[in-house]
Amino acid sequence: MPNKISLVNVRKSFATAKGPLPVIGGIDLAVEESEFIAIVGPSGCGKTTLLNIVAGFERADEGEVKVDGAPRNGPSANGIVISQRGSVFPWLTVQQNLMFGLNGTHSETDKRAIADHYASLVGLKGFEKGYPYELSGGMLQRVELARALAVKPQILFMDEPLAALDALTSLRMRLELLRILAEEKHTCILITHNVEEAIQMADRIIVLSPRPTTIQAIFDVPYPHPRQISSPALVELKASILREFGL
Amino acid sequence: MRMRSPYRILLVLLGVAVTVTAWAALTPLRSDSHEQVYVIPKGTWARRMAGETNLQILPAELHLTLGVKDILVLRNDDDVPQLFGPVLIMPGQSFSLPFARASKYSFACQLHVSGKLDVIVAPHPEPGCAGAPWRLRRRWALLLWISALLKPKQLVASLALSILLIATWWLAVAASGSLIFPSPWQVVTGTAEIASNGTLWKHIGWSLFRVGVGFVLAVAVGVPVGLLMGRVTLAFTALNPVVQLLRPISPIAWIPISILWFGVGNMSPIFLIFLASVFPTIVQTAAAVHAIERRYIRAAENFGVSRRRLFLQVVIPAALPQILVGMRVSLGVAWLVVVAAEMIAPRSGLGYLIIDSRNAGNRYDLVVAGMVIIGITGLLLDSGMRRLEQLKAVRWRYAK
Repeated sequence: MPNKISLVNVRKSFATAKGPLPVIGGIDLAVEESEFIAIVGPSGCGKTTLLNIVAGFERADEGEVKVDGAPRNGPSANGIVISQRGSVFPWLTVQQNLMFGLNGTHSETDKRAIADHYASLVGLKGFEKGYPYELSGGMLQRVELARALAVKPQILFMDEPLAALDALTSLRMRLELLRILAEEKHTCILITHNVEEAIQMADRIIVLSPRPTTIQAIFDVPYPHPRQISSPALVELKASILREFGL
Repeated sequence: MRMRSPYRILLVLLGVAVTVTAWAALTPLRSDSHEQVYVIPKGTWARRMAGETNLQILPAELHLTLGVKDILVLRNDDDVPQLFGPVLIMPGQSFSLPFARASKYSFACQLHVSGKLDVIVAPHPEPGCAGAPWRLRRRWALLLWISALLKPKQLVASLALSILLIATWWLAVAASGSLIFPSPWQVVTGTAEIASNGTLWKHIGWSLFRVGVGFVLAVAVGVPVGLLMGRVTLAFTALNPVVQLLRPISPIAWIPISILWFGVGNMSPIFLIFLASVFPTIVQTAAAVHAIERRYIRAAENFGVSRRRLFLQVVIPAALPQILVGMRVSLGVAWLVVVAAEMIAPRSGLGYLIIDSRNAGNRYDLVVAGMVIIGITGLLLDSGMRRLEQLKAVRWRYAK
C-alpha cells in the first residue's frame, strides 16, 4: 500500500538575531491512507512548524514532503488545518462558513444541502443562521470541524484543536470527533499535549524530542474503538509514553 | 421680512401638540398579539394555605378590548390545578379564551377571594374623538417607554448642563450690554426667520450636496487605493510616502490652487472636501487590511479559493469594520472643510451664510445660528455613520 504522506529527512531552521535556530532536526515519517497519527512532544519543540510544513504553509529547508507521491508545494484543499485558535470567519453566519470551502463545482442548493448535512453531523442544527460571536468556544470548534469536513478533505491536520476548551467540553468533543471520523474515514494528524487524548484517538503515537526535534519514540495503539482509557493495557501505554518525557 | 416675535414659536409648538393628539386619536391601533396574558405564580396556593386569606392572585375585573386584546390567556405556573369557570387548568398549562362580543362576563373562580371573576370586554374603539382618551393612554405608554430608553439620568444631566451654558451666555450678553453679540433668543428668532423664508434650507442643502459628492468621490478612490496598499507590498512602498507627505497639508492650503484649477464654482469646494477626506480613508483602509489576522487568510488559502473570492469574502469583510471607522473620520473632516471652503467660493452654503451675515449688516445672530446649525448637522451625519456600525456584517468586530 503506498503511503499517503511521506517525510524524508525534513529539517527546518528559523533565522534569529543570533543566527539560525534549528527547529526540526531531521524527521522521517510515513503515514498510511486513513491512518490516525498523534504527535506529542514538549512545548516549543516544533510540532506546529512540522504540521505547517506538511500542510504546505511553510517550506522545509531540507528533505522532502510528499502527499500521494507528489511534492508538497503549498496549501491545498485536500488537507485542511484545524487549529486551536480557530479560523471561523466572524463576518459570515455559521451556514456561510460551512459553505465557504465549497467551490464552483456545486450548485447553490447543493452547497446548502452539504452545509446542512455537516451542521447536523456536528450538532449545530438550529445555529446555521447565527454569527460566530453568538456561539460558545465548543460550538465554534464544531463550526471549524464541520467547515473542514464539508470539503471532504483526504487529510485532516489538527493542531491542538481541543486545547482551548474546558475539560468537559474537550472530552465530549473528543468522543464526537471519534464518532464522526468513524463515519467518514480521513487520514489524520493530530498534535496534542494531552497523552490520554492521543491514546484514545490515534492508531500510532509519535513522541518528539526537544528542539531541534527528531522522532524519539513511536507507539502503536492496536486497540479497537471505543477505547476504555482506564483499561490496564492503556494505563500501561500511558505510563510508558510519559516515561519518554521523564515523568 | 424680519419677524422676531416669540408668538411664532408658540404657534409652532401648539401645532405640534395638535398634530400629536390628532395622530393618537385617528390612526388605527395595531397590536402585535391579541393575547392578554395573566400568570398564576408558583406558590400562590401554598401561601393561601399558610393563612393569607385575602391574597389576590388576579384582579377582580379583567379588561379586554375587541380587535386589540381580545384573547384571555391564563397560565398556571403553580403546582396545583386551578379552577376557572368550568375549566380546570392543570399545573404548567395555559388556557386561552377568545372573546368575540363586548359585554361583561362573570366566572366562578377561586383565583379571587370573592370566588368570582369578571371579564369586561370593551367594543373595538372607533376612530374619532370618543376613542381619543383611550388611544392617548396607549400612546402615552409608548412615549414613556421611549423616554425610559433614553436613560433619564444622562438626559437630565446633559439637559442641565446645556441650560446652564445657555443661561451663562444670556447673562453675559445682558450684563455686557453688547449691541452686536446676540443673545440666545435672538439666535432662535434669527434661525426661525431664515428657516421661514427658506434660505436656511437652501444653504444646508448646498453644503450637504458638496460634502456628499466630495465624500463619495473620496471613498470611491480611497477605499480601492487603501485595499491595494494593504494587500500589495509594492503598492504600499510606492504610494505610502506620497500619501504621508500630502496628508498633513491642510485642505485650506489648497484653496489658491483649487481656485486656479477649478475657478470659484462648485468644483472648488468639492475638490477640497475630496482632498480632506481621501487621505484618512486611504490610511485607515490600508491599516485595516494590514490588521487582518493571518489565520483567516491562511484558512482561505487552505480551501484553495480564488484570489477574487479571497478579496471579496475575506479581505474586504475582515477590514470593513475599520474601513467604516475611517469613513466616519473622513466625513467629519469633510464637514469641517466644507464650511471653510464655502467662505471663499460660491454664493451658497452654510459657510457662505456665516460670512455673508457678517458682511451684510453685522447680523451676528445669523452667524451664531449658522454655527449651531453646522454643529447639529455634523452631529447628525456622525450618528448616521455610527448607525452603519450596527450592521450585522460588521458588528462582530465591535461586539466584544
